[in-house]
Amino acid sequence: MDFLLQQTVNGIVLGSVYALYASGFGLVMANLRIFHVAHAAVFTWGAIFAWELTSRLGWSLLVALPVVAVLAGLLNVLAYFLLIRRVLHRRGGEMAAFISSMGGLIVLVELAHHHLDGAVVRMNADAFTSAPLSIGPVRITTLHLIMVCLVLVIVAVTSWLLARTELGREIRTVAFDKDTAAILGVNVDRVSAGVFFASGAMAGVAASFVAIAFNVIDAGLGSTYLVIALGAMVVGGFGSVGGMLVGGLVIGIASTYATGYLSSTYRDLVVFVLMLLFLALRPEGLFRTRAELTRV
Amino acid sequence: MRSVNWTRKRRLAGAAAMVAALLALTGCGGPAGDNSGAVRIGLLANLTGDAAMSFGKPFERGFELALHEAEPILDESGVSIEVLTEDAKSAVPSAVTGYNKLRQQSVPLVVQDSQSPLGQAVAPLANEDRITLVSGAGSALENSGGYSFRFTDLSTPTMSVGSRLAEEGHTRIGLVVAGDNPSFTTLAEATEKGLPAGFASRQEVSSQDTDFSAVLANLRRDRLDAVVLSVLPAQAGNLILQMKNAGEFEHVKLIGTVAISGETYTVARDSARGFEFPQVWAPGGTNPTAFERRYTEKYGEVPTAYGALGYQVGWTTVAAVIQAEKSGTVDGSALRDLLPAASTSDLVREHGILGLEMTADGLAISSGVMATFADGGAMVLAGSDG
Amino acid sequence: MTEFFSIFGAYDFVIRDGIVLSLVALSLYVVLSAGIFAVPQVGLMAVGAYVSAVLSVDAGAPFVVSLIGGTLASGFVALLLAGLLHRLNGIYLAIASIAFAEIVRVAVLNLPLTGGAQGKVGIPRTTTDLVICIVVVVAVAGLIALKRSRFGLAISAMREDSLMASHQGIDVVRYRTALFALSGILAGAAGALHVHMSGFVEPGQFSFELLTQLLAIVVIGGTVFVTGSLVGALVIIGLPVALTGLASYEALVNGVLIVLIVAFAPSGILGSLRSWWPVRSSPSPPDSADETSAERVLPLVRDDGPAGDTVLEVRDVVMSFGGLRALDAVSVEARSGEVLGIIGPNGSGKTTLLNVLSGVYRPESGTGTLLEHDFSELWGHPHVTAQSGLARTFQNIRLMDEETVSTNVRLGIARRPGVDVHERTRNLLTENRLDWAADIPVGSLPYGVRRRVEIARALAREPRVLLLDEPTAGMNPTERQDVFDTISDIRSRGVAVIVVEHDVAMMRSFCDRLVVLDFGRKIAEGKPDNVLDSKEVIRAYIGSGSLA
Repeated sequence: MDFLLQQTVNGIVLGSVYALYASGFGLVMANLRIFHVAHAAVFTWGAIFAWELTSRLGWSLLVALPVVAVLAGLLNVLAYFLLIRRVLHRRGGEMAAFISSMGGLIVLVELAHHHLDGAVVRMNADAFTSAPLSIGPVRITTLHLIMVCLVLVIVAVTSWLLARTELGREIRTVAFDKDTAAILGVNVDRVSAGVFFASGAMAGVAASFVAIAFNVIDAGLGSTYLVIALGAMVVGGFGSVGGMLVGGLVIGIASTYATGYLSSTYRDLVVFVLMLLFLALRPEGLFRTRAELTRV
Repeated sequence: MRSVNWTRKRRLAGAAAMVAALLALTGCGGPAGDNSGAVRIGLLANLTGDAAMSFGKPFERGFELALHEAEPILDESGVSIEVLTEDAKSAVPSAVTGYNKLRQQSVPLVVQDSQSPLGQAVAPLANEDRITLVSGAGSALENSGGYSFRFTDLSTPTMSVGSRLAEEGHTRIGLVVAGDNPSFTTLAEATEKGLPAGFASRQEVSSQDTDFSAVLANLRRDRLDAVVLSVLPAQAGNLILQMKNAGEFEHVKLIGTVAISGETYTVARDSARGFEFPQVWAPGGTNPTAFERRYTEKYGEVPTAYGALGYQVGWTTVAAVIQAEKSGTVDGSALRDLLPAASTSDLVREHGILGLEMTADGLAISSGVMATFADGGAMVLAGSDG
Repeated sequence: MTEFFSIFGAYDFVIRDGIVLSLVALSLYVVLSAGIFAVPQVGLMAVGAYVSAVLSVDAGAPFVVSLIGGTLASGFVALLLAGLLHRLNGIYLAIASIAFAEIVRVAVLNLPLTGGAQGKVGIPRTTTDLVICIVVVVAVAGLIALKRSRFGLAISAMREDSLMASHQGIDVVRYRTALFALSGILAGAAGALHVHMSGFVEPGQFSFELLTQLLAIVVIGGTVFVTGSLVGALVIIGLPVALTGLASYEALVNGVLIVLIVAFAPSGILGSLRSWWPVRSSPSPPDSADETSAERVLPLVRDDGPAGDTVLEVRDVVMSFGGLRALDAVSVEARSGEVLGIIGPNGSGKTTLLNVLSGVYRPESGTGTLLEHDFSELWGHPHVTAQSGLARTFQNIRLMDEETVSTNVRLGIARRPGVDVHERTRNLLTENRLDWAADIPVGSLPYGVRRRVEIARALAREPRVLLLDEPTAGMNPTERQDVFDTISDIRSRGVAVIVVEHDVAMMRSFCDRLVVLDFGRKIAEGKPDNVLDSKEVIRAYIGSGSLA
């Protein structure tokens, strides 16, 4: 029983990271109906920014986090303007945006590869001193605790923003129907850029955590997590941020159980089969939102 | 319908133009003229791409150094060797293209540094073309004509690890293996052969994994004395670090595989002290051998295991060529027949730096050494003062 | 000697590899060019490759059997996949297809049968250049032939506007399944050919990187022409050869190329070349005023004669969206040779009613018949409704703008044995005074002419019932008159016409019967004069305060 509890807690930690990554992804998808695969590269670069700031400049993690968030957000906005904006207006714009984003992914990953000289790097351990904790039979570290808490805070703040503020209303309007939003006086471009910024910032924060907690940074970092984040989105439903949190946790726990009780390669299988099942039977995910209901 | 014929004509013209362009680009590589008397050896190395830094480039340097040092001996025997190098670019199509170019130059022997898919792709061609292939691939290669040789012996040093652990009194031994990579599953199996009782715990991960909390929970539950990490070097470093951070693994001995490299230290830093792993070869730390000194002098860096392999293979090649010259013909079949003996010849024993026997059925036998990390991350022989 | 690719010297492997790769790109093209956003081709190629490898190595099957086995296995898996994902579209479908490809990769990585991470070696290298060429030529020729046929036209229609396509009798789901199977066959054949060319197969080959390469090929070559994939493959192979100095920058260049081409030359190299050829200038339409005065002497008078049989009826149809009742127990019937008008203020449910009648929506409750068919079988399947004798036009004209008038009209012709499509198209064009515009792309024509094309297309399937959704919106009086004259003509042929319109005056003088909707309910029905003078109707339009 203790073992199950431990694995569950591991799953929650892992899942919260997936959830943060997926949330950024899902926000963009819900907002513009596009599959922005280059997000994975923004994630990777977020980790690289974090590494540069903590290792080269010697900053501590908590100081570097906001800066990484801003940098990653800006990178994503750049991606929006260069890759997405132009092609979205066309007929078949969804597919064109996907392909363009994939081209962007390739370019960014290659740049990361060259920047790192093909090597694997590691965050400066002094950036955050983590101490092991015991909560009952469960072992965890202070870092893990902070990760989970921060993710919950970010998700809560984002949900609040979306539900209660003017900006949030504008975002939801654009997600529902871009043209109507434009008629209503919403600056669609600015809103979309804002969503991309937020999404990139989330990816940057998630990446920093992954880098410090799991130690390894290389050019393929974001791509490795990409498909799992997709799973979180599909299971949770990408209309709501809360849904994606749940989706991330479900995937995190499922994959940890699979690794714990079976093996890691089955972990991949479990995630993909889950994804496929949901897509075949309940594509809207666990938490449907109105926007999803009225669109095909 | 007129317009359709018009555009179709243009399309055909365009297609013809493109084929011509491609021909021009590629067809201009015919067999070159023969340099008087020099034996050409092909070196198909990963000079660019993922496998360059850890394998291709160090290997090329070691190989080059060996051939350079062998010049006086070659002169004595009246043989000269010309090394033709092609970049395999860590990818199958480039490797095959590189091989083809070497074949066009009528090389009797091709040395290929690493990566199983590349070896798997070239081996059938080499056997068909009767060219001896000396490959660093981890997987078994097709060997219908007996022309495929490998110089990577993953099993012997690994098996010795297993027996060593048993000798040291460890009873419950666990394994973490990257199950999606053939080399690591092979290494794991080889290690297990050396253990009297097999592995008490077996954790499979994927080569891209970075979070090991689930695995650690399992390992803790299984109460082990030692754990073998048969994973990528960076992953091994990561595992070591996460184990240290999690606590409770202080009394567990950690052992690696031949695949461990400097990346492990990059990730684990000081936590990697005490981590031992077999290597084909390791530098002597504060007591460098002559080879190490010469290598460092020429290339400005301490050689790694792959550099040593390149050096060893270089000398073995020299020995085989000299022997073939003495017997009359230097072609693929002759080299194929002479290579096993060459690998254990006196010449190689004198100048080589590690025991590497290449057998006629394409396997390699190499006992290897145990290595560890010295202060600052240099890889040294375990037990040396490094 | 069958190894003629040896003329490329050291690069023979690269060329063969590239050609086989272009075959996989074709399998991707087949699906993308129909607007179906699915990318499972790498997984399908893996299926074909592994099945073929296992047949050769473990079962000792001869080359032909192994090749065909791999191809069919892949086609079969593709069919299964199509069935599993038939409800998905857009991004969901893309994600699902990627998940499938990954499942295949993980499966072959773990099954002992497939050799696990080591893969399989020793596959007899029996692919000759002749076989490669034959397969590719057959595939390309087959696809070109398919593209020129009605199948190809249906696919273009699906890609442009799948709702409109289903109203032309095109069963979108069935076409999609067929395309998936075709994609599977092409990818599987390529996989089988490849393993017999290189002699080995290992799971690392079927990675995400391969998918990006394939996308690059399809994007660069463009989806306008079938041969685009071959051109794309040429560029992708040619690049590393040309850039031998910059080997490590290959992938980067690939990525940049993809972004640039999608942004600036979306139809790829071939498509862009095509658009640079000078376009023939379109002749201007004959002055419509002359035409109407010269040819049309029919008085603008209702035909008060008895209407024919009821050809369509629905009873008590209820349709809600979310909490909103768009149609509240509406009953309507249409009779042959009669024009039934549907009017009502904005938001009263007129278009929703048409969507129910043409089979797009399935109402929550209600019954009905169309000719001899029960509507409960037709609702949700507009293509079946179209095949059962009903045609319609749309509020915002739905045509294929890049195609010519005759192609658009041709789309509407139901494929039946014994019908000469070209002759029928010509007749339709003449009847609708469109022969002057036969070869002009529809997008460049004036609004009134485009509506005529849409109506001609609807008439092409010889419907018994014709639905027109605001056919004269945005037209000037002359154009409007034109449309109503056409409708009059259609009525006289015995077709039941249902028209939704805003021009109440014209409807009054033109329709045989009117139905008035307000907030989803039918508030009046009958002869136009009676209906339009009723208090209720006036109140609905203007509000109760202004009643005289």
